[in-house]
Amino acid sequence: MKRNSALVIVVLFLMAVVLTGCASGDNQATTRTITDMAGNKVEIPVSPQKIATMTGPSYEMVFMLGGKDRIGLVRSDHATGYPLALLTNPDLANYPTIKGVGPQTPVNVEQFLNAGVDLVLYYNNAAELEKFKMAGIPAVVINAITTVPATTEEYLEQSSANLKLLSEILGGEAVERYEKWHAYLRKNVELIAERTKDIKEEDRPVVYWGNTWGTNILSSYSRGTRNIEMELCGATLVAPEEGGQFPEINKEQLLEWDPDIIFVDNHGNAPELVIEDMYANKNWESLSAVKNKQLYRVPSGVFFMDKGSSNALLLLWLAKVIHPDLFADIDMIKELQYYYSTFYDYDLSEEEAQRILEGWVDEENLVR
Amino acid sequence: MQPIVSVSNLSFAYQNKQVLRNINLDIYEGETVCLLGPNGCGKTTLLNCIHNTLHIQEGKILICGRDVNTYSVTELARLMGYVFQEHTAPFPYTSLEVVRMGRTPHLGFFQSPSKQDTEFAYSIMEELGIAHLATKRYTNISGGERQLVLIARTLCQEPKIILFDEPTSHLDYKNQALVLHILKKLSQRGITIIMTSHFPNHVWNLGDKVAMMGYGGFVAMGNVEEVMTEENLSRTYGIDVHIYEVVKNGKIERFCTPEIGL
Amino acid sequence: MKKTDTNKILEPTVSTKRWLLFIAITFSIFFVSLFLGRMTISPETVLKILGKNLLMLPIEPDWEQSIEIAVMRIRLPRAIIASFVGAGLSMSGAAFQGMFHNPLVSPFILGVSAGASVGAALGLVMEQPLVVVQIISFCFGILAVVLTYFTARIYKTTPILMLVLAGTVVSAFFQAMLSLIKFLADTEDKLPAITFWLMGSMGSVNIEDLLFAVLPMGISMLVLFLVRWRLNVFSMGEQEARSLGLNTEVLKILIIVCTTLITATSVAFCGVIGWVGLVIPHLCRMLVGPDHKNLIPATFLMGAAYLLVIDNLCRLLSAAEVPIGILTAVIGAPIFAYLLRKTKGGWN
Repeated sequence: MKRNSALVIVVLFLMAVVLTGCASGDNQATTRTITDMAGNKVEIPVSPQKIATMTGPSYEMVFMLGGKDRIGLVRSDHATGYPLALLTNPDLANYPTIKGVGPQTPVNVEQFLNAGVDLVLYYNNAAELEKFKMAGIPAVVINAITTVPATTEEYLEQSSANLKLLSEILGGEAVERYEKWHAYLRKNVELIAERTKDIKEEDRPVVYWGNTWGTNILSSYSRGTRNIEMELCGATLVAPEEGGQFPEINKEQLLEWDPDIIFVDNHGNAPELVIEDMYANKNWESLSAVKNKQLYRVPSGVFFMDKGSSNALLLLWLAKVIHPDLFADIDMIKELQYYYSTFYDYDLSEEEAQRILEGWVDEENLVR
Repeated sequence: MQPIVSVSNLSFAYQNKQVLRNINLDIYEGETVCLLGPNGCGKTTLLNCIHNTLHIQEGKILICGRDVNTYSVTELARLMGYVFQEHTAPFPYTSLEVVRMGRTPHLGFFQSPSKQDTEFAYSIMEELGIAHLATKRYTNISGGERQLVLIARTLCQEPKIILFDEPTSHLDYKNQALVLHILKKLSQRGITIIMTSHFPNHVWNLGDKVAMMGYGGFVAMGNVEEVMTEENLSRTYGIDVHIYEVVKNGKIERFCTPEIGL
Repeated sequence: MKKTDTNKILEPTVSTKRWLLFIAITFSIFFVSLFLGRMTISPETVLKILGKNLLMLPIEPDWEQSIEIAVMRIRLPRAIIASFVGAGLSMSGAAFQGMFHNPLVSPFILGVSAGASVGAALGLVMEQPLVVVQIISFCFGILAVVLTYFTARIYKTTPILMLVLAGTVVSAFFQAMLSLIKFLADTEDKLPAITFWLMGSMGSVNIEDLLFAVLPMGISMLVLFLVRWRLNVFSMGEQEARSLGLNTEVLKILIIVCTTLITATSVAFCGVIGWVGLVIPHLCRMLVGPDHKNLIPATFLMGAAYLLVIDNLCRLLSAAEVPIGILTAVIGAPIFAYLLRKTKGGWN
């Protein structure tokens, strides 16, 4: 009897040793370390399967890289705030969503744990990143570049940096898709640069890029990346030098700059209302852009077209608006269709493409 | 003749504490009435009831035959003035500015005092012998001087009745005499004076009537001659009081002192 | 000899000459502000534009349309609103400091700015046009003060201490509401909109809406001016004021109504601008004394001049507009600290 119990104990002991050995052996192959956009070294799963896309452009970027089935949590507006998001990915309606996430807002980490998130793409907010760390969820900072590119090469590098990092994180086909996208971006940039490089200062239209609160066109971006993009497209950007992320200019300043073209961003509420108001408001009567009907709303798609990967596509649209004669051969409908089928695996019809360009507002599905 | 101030069946309680019980008092125009009594007996409370600052639970107060509640704040201020114990104002107004505030009941709501009002105020200050304080800041003058400024202010209201709450309590010896002198002059002008006091001795020269108060009611009330007795005083203050009569320069002076026993 | 003495004593403490000087300074600052801006416009052009539009002089325009828009639709309304808001907040501050017998009181003590902020935040979150945001903001500002008043009411009076306490409570409540709204607001666009609005700007008033902003403020300031002497009496203490024939309840309500109209309008149109209603009355007391007869008009003039100067800085310093609430705090708080030290906390 005694011998039998001793044998059982020994067998159990050996089993325990073998199993723990196997377990720790598994751990060694499942994580790796990457450097995120804020310079933090983060240990992430080798193949994340439930990614939480928390920053604005992050969903679109992961989607474009082929990661739509590896997303575990999205922001509520990612699903409902952009007309093409649901069309290109009908499953999106069923993704777990979270509300109230922003660069300065505290998060409830429990929701992430509940959704089984194994990687978070987040803002550069140290306090919140710490929370994820303590909960054991790897948090990667993206969309956090603050330097201003001075040359076209730097611009290409900076515009691709987030996608490059994401492709490395996702691995597999994402890397190929990134390479293809990067080549596409480069091709567009070179095409545009070729045609605009010799444009003289006086032939460059003055462009103002307006962010919006309500009907207030005065909020803008400080110079930042927009500067070089405008230069690339053969224009000169007017913007405040300082003032944080969204500095406001005053009315007189806009009159003084008197831009030839005004792009109205989607960032605020309803760009179409802003444009409507500007055409009607006596304050702006004398603006060249108003007189010549050069107010343009930046299109929106899976996300705002000027953010995420689709900015590569937007460049063509910008160039066409700024120098219609130089880019007459570019058919935006065809370009949109190409981009959507190549990078979103979606067959965009001509009507849909037209609606995007006109500023698609899908009232039934939109939750503002 | 109708009394200028008539208090009947007045009862007043602060929350649950009964301070005044069934007070009856008639004061005729031109009289000076002193309210005597120990701390907490209700002297100031009675004054505040007459002034309509406190709302009474029972009884009636008639001023010039009318219920005091029927007077508007401005109307009442034209009839009745109230000299508080001296205090410090939060702002450093000049004394003349403070005195001039007494003209308020005679000004329209959106009116500021005119040059005549300012001159009137100054003349009152001259009368009281404090004209030299006119440009001095109210916060910089002495306690006694402040008291005189407050009296001057009240006189600007041109009231028929003036209530004094312990007009001499914080004053030095000289200023006490000065204030009493002014009170006498006012009385001679026909102003009805109701004052509370801690000093029974002030009554002799000043008062027509005196009301001695003990907790809640009158211990004694009536003419000075009748009421100021050793017995009444002793009962009111709860200690033995002696009254002395002295003849000086052919005049009879009376004064009382408490017995400081062992 | 006696007559000259009394004349000297009875003459006003601030001479007519000095008043004229103050008025001249304020008007000059207003006038000069019209010549300043991010656009370079020659002084003669400005004068000609003003002459043509205000005096109906028959001048042929030799300037571009945008310049006329800049002068008439941007600089002029802005200078007007800055003057009125500066004057209004300062007068309200002086009136409240007298009414509450307290030099640390600002015109927002009864909760108007907290309430108006909540109203504006709601309007912005609901994506309402600017006009609606302003109206909601105004209404909530009034609502907050009404709540404070009725919370402080005991029997038929509203003791000053109760008003202060009730104001603190109501302000705290609305501040909490504001935090809640900010927390729930979309963080990428609504939240920055709310934040920027709250920091204040003189630039959001269109010339068409100017009358709605200026009229309630103007009438309220006039009433405060008319009762300014009564504030002296009131500041001696409520019981004393009553004994002098002042109906304290009526005066309190009147002052509260006037200051609330002024502050609610200014917050609704221009956001929260602090430190003006607190600092200017103190500065004026140092110049003209505590008599409200002089103080109230002095705060009107100095408040207008002060805010005009600061607003000029806001719109001239850089291409990006500096929110005025920031500048008034950055400039106003040190001035206030200096004043406190100089007066040692007293009223002199």
